[in-house]
Amino acid sequence: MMKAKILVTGDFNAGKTTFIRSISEIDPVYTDRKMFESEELTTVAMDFGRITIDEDLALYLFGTPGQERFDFMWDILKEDIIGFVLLVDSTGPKIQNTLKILEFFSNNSDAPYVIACTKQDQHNALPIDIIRQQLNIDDTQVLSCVATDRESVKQVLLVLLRQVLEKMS
Amino acid sequence: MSLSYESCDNGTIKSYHVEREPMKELVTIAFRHVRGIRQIHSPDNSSTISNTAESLRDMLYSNQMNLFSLEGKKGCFYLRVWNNGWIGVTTDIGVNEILIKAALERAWRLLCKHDQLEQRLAYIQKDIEDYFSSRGVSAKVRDINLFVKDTALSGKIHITAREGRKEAIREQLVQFIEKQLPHFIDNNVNIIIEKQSLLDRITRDQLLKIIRRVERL
Repeated sequence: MMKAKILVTGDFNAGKTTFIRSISEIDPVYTDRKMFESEELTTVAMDFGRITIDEDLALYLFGTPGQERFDFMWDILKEDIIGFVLLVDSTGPKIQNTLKILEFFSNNSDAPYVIACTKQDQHNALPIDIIRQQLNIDDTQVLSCVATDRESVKQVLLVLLRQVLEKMS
Repeated sequence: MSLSYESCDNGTIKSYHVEREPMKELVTIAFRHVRGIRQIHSPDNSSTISNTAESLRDMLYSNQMNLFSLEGKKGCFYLRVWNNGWIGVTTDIGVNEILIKAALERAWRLLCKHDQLEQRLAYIQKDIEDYFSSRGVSAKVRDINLFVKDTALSGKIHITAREGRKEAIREQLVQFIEKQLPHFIDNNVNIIIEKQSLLDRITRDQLLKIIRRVERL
């Protein structure tokens, strides 16, 4: 069976788990744990979701852990991806961390990628043009995204998948 | 540098396309391995010297000495072409006409191989892919950069292949290259085989299926 793998990455609290949950046909495997200092949950290993295409083909979504101490997982998760989505929290983008993640995956993989600015439905979300400016990137697709909304997640995935297709031709 | 000139052959005026650089290359190759050659003179004022890759072949193989002649002796020879241009070589006393002619013939053969090789190199990526495909080898050519330097084929072939098949594929590829690009035995080609990523293995049809499925979600 061919398993096409897409990585969903981004800084802590960017919405990776939610993104995968919105689109996966199975209940995603979560590895979230409550943090000591708050009631919030954080992913400590990886999230995993699946979309079955047919009996010989499936799309797998893997989410990276957001916390820095689990960075060692990136090396494993980057293997054999066809593309990756880099999520940025529009309500408080952590630019340096995001650029560090982007640098790692773009340097260590030749897979296409898109940047999706999450939480765009929230009143304090920064416009994507501002985030693009802060990230100082011109040649990458920066998209608006609401990770809780399946349609929005779907559109992000489609942009990425079409980039992969373009790369193949 | 290219020039045109006209020549009279059996009473017919013909036009020829002339390139002087390949002639210099030919002469240099020709005499590189002849012991006792001191200096090659291919003067700029000999502007009517043809490229002669083509004409030299005719001369050497048909032995049309009226078109090509070697004159001189005792350390100083002139190669005349079409009675219009010349190339001079100064040599040691022991070098004779036979050695010089043999060197020119050898140079001509080398240039022929060089031409064949360049023609094949233009299609080598597709040839390798077709070869892999015909053998059912799961490997892809990521990048090819081959060139001929002196008498060796140099450069790099970058392949991606399934894990565990690298050495077998390398062996097959070396055999294929030697068959396709013969004569240049001192090949200096660096074959890099990397593990094939999913991006290499997934087909366009599979990707289109995924896109259609996601669109329907």
